[in-house]
Amino acid sequence: MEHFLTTTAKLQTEQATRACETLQNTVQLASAPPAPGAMAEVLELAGASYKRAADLQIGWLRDWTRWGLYAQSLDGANTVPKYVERVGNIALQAQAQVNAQAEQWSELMDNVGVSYGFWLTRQLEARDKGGS
Amino acid sequence: MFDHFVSPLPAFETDGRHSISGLSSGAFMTVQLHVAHSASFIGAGVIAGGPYRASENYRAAATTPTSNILNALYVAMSPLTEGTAPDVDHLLALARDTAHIDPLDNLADQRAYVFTGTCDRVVNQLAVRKTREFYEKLGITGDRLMFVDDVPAGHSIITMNPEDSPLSSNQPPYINEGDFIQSHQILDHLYPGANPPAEDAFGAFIRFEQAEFIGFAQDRASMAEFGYAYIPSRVASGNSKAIGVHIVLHGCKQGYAYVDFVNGREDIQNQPPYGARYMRSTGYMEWAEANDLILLFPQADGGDSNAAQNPDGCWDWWGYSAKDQNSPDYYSQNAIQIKAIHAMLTRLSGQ
Repeated sequence: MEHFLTTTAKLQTEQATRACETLQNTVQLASAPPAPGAMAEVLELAGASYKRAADLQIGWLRDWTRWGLYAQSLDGANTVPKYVERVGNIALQAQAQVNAQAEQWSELMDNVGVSYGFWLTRQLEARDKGGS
Repeated sequence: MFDHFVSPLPAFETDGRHSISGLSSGAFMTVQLHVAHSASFIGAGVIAGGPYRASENYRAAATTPTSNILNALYVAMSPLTEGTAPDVDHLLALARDTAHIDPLDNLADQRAYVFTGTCDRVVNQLAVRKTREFYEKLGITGDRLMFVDDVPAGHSIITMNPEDSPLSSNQPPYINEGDFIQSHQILDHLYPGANPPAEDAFGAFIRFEQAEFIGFAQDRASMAEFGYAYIPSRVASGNSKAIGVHIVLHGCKQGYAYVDFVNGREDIQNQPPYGARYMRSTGYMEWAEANDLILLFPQADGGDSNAAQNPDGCWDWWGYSAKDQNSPDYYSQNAIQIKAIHAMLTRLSGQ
């Protein structure tokens, strides 16, 4: 149990630290006129994030449609054990899809956070090198 | 020929023209090994892999080792934009400061093949283009660098086998059917003027124990019990000297012992292990047979333990096998897997 608590706390602390640093860097970057092309890069990043989210949702819709087709009929369940297995499969498939989608969404959120943080760091480094 | 024996890895006289290629984690590892031991190679083939030490772009992502994992997943494999893909200048500076690797100048007169499919959703094109840039900046330019980015392939090595997955798919076993054999394209590029591939591979397919090359770090190495080698028939019979050894690195979920982990457990009841498919069905052996090239197939293994967090059986290009997780060495000649694979190469090539 202790491991669960310490691991959860460690991951949350890292995420919070990263979020604070990103916020701090955002304020720092916004405090001076943006570098040429910076706004375009931010928009590109937002657009890419939106496209990944849209792609995920298209995939999820496809997965739920397949699940719906599987779950809509119990015609093949011609014995009690088969019926029990089939009902169990419907529930397990739904649960597996929810888990997979939660994981995929979490990965995308992580990716957006890391990517934006990385981009900010590079912008600030470039500004420092430019002496402005 | 594939017998049931486990043999010691033999030694052969060669011309020393060694090379290496890999897919996915095998491609990332190809670049690490190529750079770390550049004096040993004449070139490398990279299918869907990023540049050297690509898991160390954005240090502030988290504390190490989490930082390396986040970098690996989101910067090195799946960047959202060009501006968030690996920073090659930063990685080159890192490479120049890296101890225990051969001089980078060795790479300047070598050859490289870099491939990225337009449908790859695992290691995307933004990431792999940085590998081309990395090699170009190290001096591999012109016709010595073959960069292919216009094939509508998913994450895979491409064959012409009808049994393999559709070309654009991104799914295990990551071997897709196209209209060319990618291993031949790689080896033709690395060894210009080579003979066409043989109809069949008549040489010896050897199984050897990897443990003797790993040393004391068996629990962290995440390498399987056996590795394999293919000895072309003329070399095996002593009628010809091998031109060199080509190391073939499989990707994640492709080692011979790999079975999928379901809810954290190996699903051995429902799946046979992956087997020798990557070694025997991707065309490497037929090309090697026709050109007296020895093939070495090291094998990674999956593990969901806390000693090595590697459930997909990937090669280590972000640090999971390192003893010191706060300063992981997965990139130098001292890294466990690089050391083991190079020791196999040294043995096999009789050095």
